[in-house]
Amino acid sequence: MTGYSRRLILGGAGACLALPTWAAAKPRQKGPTVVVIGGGFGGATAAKYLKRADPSLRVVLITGELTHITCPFSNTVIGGFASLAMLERNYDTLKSRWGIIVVTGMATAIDTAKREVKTSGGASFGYDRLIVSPGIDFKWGELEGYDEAAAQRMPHAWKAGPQTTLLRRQLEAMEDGGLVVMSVPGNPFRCPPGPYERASLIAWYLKQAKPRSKLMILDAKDSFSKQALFQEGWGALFGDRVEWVPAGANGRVVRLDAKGGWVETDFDRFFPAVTNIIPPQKAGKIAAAAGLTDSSGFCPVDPATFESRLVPGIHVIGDACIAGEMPKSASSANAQGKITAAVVAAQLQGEAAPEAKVINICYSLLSPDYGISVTGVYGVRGGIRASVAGAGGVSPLGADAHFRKAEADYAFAWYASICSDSWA
Amino acid sequence: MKALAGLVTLGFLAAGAGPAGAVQSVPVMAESCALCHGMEGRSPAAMPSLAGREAETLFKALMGFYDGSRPATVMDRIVKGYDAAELRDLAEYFAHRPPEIWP
Repeated sequence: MTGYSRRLILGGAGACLALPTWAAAKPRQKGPTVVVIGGGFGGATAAKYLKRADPSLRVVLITGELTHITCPFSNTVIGGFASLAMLERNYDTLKSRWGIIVVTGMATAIDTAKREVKTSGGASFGYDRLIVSPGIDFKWGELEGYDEAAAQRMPHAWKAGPQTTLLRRQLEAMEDGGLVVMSVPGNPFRCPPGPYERASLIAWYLKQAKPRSKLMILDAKDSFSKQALFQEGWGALFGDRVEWVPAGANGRVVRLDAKGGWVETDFDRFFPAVTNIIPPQKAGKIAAAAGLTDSSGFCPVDPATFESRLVPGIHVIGDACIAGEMPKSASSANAQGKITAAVVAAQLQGEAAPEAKVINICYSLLSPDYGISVTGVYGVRGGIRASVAGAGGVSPLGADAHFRKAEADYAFAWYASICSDSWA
Repeated sequence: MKALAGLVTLGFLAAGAGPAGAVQSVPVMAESCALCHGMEGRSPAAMPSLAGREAETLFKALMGFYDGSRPATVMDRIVKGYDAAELRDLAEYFAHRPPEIWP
């Protein structure tokens, strides 16, 4: 614990007034301070596992949300068999069980010289080590015509919350026979199989409630995650209700007019009844503000420690980082939170950083009873987080209904487990 | 809580060599399993708990996933990321976790 000066984590009286619960924070935290930015799967997990590794650490979690609504399982809300309230996670247990200091506010700047994070509330938080897990932001305007105003008519629903509800309501209000169009961006983006799970669960809803309706996926790519499995399932469950148009068949949406109600590829203009635009993405705002991003808009990191390659002393995890072959997923963020917590706790104790292989698993639902998965084990190889040869892969093609049902059940169990592992 | 503070250190004592030659910390490696099986292998939901089960039982199950003799949905794909020594270390680790949730 030596070699690290104590720092006041309070920036000023304003912070005290805004955060009266700090008085109740555990008094025996005498160790160095680790600030974690972001309260999603990555940040919450990192904060919890830091305290688990070393309860003497002061861990300050800065999050812009009073409660976090998870993106995983938000497609079940759009499909109509879950409520948004079921996806809400709060920070009560991180505070009460783990003694984490939770600050509600947006991190707006990082002063690396002073080792301070500034928040929208005007407060500053000093740190010995900093873990940044800001998730994604959208590249508004990269798709011509798509900005925040357009998203009120053509929702993205790629951050769960009001946008999820909006898309669901539009589907409910649509007349039977209406065309649903989804626009999917090129790589990289949050949750590679997510758009295709969403297409499945919308189709599942259409099959029951709007049997004359169809769904068209306009894709900026020529292949996608778990493609053969999705296409097998679509055929079995939905017949020709789902149409996927790859980039090579002019699937890429190049412009749209939300007020006019149309989207355009290089060859066609469509007037869908409901349009879901998943926009191109980049790391959450604070990452660029702190100089953590490269020209891709995401954050290059050391594959063993998740320390930024651009700003020493700051670790970046979750969807914001470039994690080699690990996908941008909740499971990846959770895994990266744990290994980064172990690394930071060890380094603050003057020990060498531990190394560990980590697991990613992504379940997708094609219906409430039909699940598929992709998994991988990732170690450090050739300077990146790379899949261990021979491990991982996708569910088998041609499996029976019993197998698909088992994976659907495991998908629900996975969700309960990872939420508990991250926030409780 | 006090016992948990030494976990990272313990990792180096109970470490095996990974395929790339990197020393793998067993407790940190085991944290990945918590994603589905719960923290320290105590499952909060429908996934099977691992904590406190016989090490030999766990190891045999893992090896059964490895050679295909035990039915699996994803575990057959996951175990292939580890060598037998690592799987034994993981089985030992979970066997020594208390099965009760927050006694």
